[in-house]
Amino acid sequence: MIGLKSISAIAIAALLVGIGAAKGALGATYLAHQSALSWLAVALVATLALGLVGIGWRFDVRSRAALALRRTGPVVVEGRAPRELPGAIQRVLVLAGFASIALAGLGNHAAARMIELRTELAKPSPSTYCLPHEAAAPAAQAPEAPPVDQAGCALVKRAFALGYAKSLGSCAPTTIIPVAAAPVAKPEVCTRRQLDEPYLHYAFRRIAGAAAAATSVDPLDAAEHRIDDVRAHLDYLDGLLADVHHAITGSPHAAHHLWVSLPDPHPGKLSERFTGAPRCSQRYADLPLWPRWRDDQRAELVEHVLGQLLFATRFGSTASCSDYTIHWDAPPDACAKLVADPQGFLDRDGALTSVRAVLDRRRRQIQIGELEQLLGRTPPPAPPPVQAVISLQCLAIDHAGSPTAATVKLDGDELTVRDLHVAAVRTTADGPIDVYLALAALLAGTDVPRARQAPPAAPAPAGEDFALTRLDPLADADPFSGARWPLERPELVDVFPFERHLHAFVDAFRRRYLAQRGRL
Amino acid sequence: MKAAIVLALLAAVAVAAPDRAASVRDALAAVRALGSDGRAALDRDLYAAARAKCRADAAPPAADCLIDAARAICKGDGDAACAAAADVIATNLRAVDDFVDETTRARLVRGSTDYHAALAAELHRRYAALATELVLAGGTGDEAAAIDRLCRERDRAIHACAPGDAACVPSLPWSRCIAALVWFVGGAP
Repeated sequence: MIGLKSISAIAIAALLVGIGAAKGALGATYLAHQSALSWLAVALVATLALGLVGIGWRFDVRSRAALALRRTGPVVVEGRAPRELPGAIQRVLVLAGFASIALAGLGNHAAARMIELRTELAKPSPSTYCLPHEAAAPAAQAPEAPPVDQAGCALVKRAFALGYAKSLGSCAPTTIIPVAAAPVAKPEVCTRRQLDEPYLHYAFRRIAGAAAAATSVDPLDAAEHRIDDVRAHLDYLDGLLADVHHAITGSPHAAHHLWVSLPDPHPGKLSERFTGAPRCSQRYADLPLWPRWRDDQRAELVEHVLGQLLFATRFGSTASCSDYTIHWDAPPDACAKLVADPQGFLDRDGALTSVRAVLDRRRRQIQIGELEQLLGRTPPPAPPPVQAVISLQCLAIDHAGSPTAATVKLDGDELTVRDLHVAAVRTTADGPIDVYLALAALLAGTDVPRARQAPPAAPAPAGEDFALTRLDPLADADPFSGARWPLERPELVDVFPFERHLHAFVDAFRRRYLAQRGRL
Repeated sequence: MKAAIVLALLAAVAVAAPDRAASVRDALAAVRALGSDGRAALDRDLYAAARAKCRADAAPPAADCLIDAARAICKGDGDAACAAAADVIATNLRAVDDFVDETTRARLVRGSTDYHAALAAELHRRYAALATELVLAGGTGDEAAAIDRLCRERDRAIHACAPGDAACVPSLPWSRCIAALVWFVGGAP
């Protein structure tokens, strides 16, 4: 029978030393490079931890329970005097564990920061004191611009260097260095406390300054101005409070809704009731460039393409995915229903709250601009138009059609509804290209999705040599412009330059789309 | 017509699923077998033929024109090794714009008496940057398989380069990545 305290000490020491070793804190090189200060910090932390643990552990007291090995397995036994490691050994084991963890967490850098802490705290704060400006560094000498090479002058220069020509003629270097006017620096007077200024003097200076300011204006005028100011704020109190409410509660800055007539690719799990659904930034991070899809993954394909078009960082500036909501399992006539009854449809699908929040937030921003103008201050920039911050679109997979647009009114604001019907979503070969074109047309109003061009009949192969040169035209075979046949051949898909063609398409799409969109 | 030619070229490659690592190995062996003088001579001859017959000074030369020119040059040698090495050179000729931006090419034209030599030196620097990625990617001793793997996987990630950055190689199609690495690795001492 072995006392539980001994077993615990061994287990804790093994675990903590293992963690320290895994972090690389027990390597000979690492230990050799620790400064004396670092060792002191480690020793202090480990000893302190040991002391705190020892209060409850009571190393010199035997365990009341012990672990015994029976035929049926280990059993905890109470009431008998078990074998126990001496208290000193238990202390050493636990101390070794704490020291390993402390070595992993505290190093030379941490020790140096601890020493510098007092100095950092004692430094005068720039918000309280007038700190002396560092002498402006002398303007770096601009490197001498290389002489501009002129076309066809290399031979002339060579001839001149060899002595065959007496002058460079028109090939002589000519450089024009523009003279930059030095900016006029406006001296700034600091009214905060000087470094060597006594506190009482500083306090008197502030009070005297406030009194002087108070007596420099007509008190009646000042009071009247103040009353007008307060009255204006009270008139716009609703807007001010609502704006604060939007900021505190995190109202959406834009609301873009897309209804898709495909089943939800991520049906809610029971665990998500407790952990919440994965954030959209996680879902769209690290999207593969051109994954293989199964036939039953049409919804995943649509979601992937949407992510590539809008949120994939590999293609440059992105939209904010938290502003976008995809409504799966939508009926094919979702947009028709939306146009017929905008408020009812949005409310049934849970979109009304976000749309109204964005509309309200925009109205409040306009009101605040009016208030600022009333008070004689520079108003903030006007918020983007409603169509830039709210968009409603539907993608129905039932029959082929062109994108259509309609306008609906909600709470006095006009919203645009765009609708696109496609015959099918194909997941193999060049099917994803159709999805890219359809979503781009729906979101950014680009051209109607092109019908798939029938490839010319394949002629007889002309030879099996020059494999690299024969594959090179794939770089110019843009599937978004109609060159789709390489995607039907798995051996060509392996080496197809997807990044080149996708990047060009998505870049062009985003330039068009993001220019139409904004955020509050 | 152009589409038909491109399709014919691709059809010739796509007849059977190729063992790409084996073809890279063959290309490497062919480039090494030429030796330094042979590589320089073949490169110069194909470059001259591309300028004369394929109008390569105005735009990247067409693939079928380069193949015809290479076949004509290698006809005298009569072996597949010459064709394999010429294949690498032809692909590199088409890939110049990917490696060297227009500003740098204009600077080379203005500042040198032998544009081809200056361009070759500039390309060598860019190929070296790509070869560094090959080394950093690690892998087993089979360099052909390592080159094939790097070039297949490299295009799946974005490589955005600032203009004129000689240490940065942009995203490349598989064929151009292979040709550049085979030329650099095969020509290394």
